[in-house]
Amino acid sequence: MQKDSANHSRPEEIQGLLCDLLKGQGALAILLAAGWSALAAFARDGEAATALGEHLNQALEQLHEEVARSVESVNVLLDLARQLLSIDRLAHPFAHFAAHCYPCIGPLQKEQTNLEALQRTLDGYQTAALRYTQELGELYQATLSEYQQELTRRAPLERTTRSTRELYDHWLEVAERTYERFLHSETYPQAISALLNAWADLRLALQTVLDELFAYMGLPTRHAVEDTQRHLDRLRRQQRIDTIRLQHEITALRKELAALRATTTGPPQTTSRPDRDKRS
Amino acid sequence: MSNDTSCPNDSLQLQSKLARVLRRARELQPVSAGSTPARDLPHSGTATLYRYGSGEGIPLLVVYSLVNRPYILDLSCERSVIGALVRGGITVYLLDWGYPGPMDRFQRLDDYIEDEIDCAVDNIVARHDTDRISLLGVCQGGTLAVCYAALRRERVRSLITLATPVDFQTPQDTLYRIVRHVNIERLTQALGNVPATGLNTLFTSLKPFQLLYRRYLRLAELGDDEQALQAFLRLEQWMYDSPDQAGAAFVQFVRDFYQANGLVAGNLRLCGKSVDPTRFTGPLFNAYATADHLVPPAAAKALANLTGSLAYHEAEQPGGHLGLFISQHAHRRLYPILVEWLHQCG
Repeated sequence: MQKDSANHSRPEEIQGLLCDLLKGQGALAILLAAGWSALAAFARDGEAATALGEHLNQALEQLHEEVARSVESVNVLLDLARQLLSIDRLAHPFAHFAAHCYPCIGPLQKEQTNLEALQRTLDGYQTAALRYTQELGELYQATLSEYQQELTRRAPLERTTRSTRELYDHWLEVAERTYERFLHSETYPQAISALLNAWADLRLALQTVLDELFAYMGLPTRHAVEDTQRHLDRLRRQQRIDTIRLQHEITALRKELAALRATTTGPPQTTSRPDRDKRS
Repeated sequence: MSNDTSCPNDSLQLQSKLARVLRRARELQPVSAGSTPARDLPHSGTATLYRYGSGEGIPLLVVYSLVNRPYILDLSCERSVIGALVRGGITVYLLDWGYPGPMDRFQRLDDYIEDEIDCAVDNIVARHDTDRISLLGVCQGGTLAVCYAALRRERVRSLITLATPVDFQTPQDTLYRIVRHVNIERLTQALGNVPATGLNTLFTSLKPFQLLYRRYLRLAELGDDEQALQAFLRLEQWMYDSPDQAGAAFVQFVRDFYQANGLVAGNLRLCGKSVDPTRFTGPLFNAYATADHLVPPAAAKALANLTGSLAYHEAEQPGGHLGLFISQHAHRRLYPILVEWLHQCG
């Protein structure tokens, strides 16, 4: 876990965390961009294989950084929230005393339990993110090797140089084919599901910790908003039921009125408002 | 491969072409969508009910998907499904679900069926002095229409389904592969309503190379074709103009349709009743696209074995999901047949 949390607890870091959690596609975009930048570099240097390899490695590194940044940002929050726990402050000087060894004692037991839950979900998220990154890494390698093989196979047959655009189209074609294969495998969709599940767990644990903070600040909590939503939903349903009942009553009354009119032999009665009831 | 010096320049040429088109695109924005005049009618639900056409034609209620906006059916006058139907003498009613907000979080599929579709049918039936109307369901809206026809068969004269999944676990269904292991209750608990950005991410991640790169590279080829550029921008606007999904309805759809495959398994329950598609015996027109990556042909074709329709008609179209609504082929071949079919059904 990040030790120097004080250096990281800026609001933009926390905002960054929320963005990172929402940006499920950031990593994939890097993969997509890699092909173009590599080929554009090739157009400049004429060193296709080196350029591709370098750019894909850079993209992979970037990918790892993205995941690490998300995790680091969650750690910032965790550390921030942990500052409230006196036991943490007392035990802090003893570096060998790991956080997970603290018993839940003192007036902030509930908060400590929440933080521990957050820590567990963070571990789960890290594991899932790592698994997904590994899958993406394999996807990279598979795409790259397939592309290189096809380039090698085609090279002796080609009399003229293909344009960067043609090479890139070819890259996209190979990447699309490989990606499709991964999507239809067992492990890739499972890695996405696991990441989504871990992300949901992490988000719920974060919400619990943030709710404590919001309640302390006198701000509406997630729990309060949900209560309002449920209450409104109940009111809406009741209103719909009442409206339908009222409509049925009106229909029945209209039928009754029509039947009464049919039985009377005289001209149809008209109702008029009494004079004294005149309103402006 | 020979070493030709023209290679370094072509990426620069492409970039400069792209920059020119992008500048022009910026000038053209915002683009307008919707070409057929519409009237909005009083409707007791939270959706908006629109009417297209004179009010004298054969009444047809369009039930669109909750996931996107329905104006793809009327994107431009050249490729308007609604326009084609209206010109064919059909009075088109469209339920526009709008954009669910935080207060719609507990809205269920049952509510969409009972309070929206059923109320709209009430309204139309009264206006046309008839007891039954035709329903046209699009994509997920088609699934809802199939369910409605099963639950209220006495209200549905004929049923049309466009790119409508009914079997959610066919081998080519990538969406199923992704969502089958997702704890959807927990995910929605964490999210509340499901944000449109999340869903857009999911959909683009099914074809990322096509949708995020190839699509924009092709933009450079549009050059000075202003009309094509406008059409591109209209579609682009539509693609990402997506509503958030009401949490409770989303859970139901993923759990009961994708994960449990309720329509095929025969254990689907909505509005307190069992949903049995064999109960609808009226005419059914089922159209699907052969290269649809969202609703694989098998997912739509399965309706043939599920429905009780005594007059089942199937129409296979080349192309992808959106091609069914905006392709030249569909507008030349599919919609004239559909209009004729609707007239035959009465």
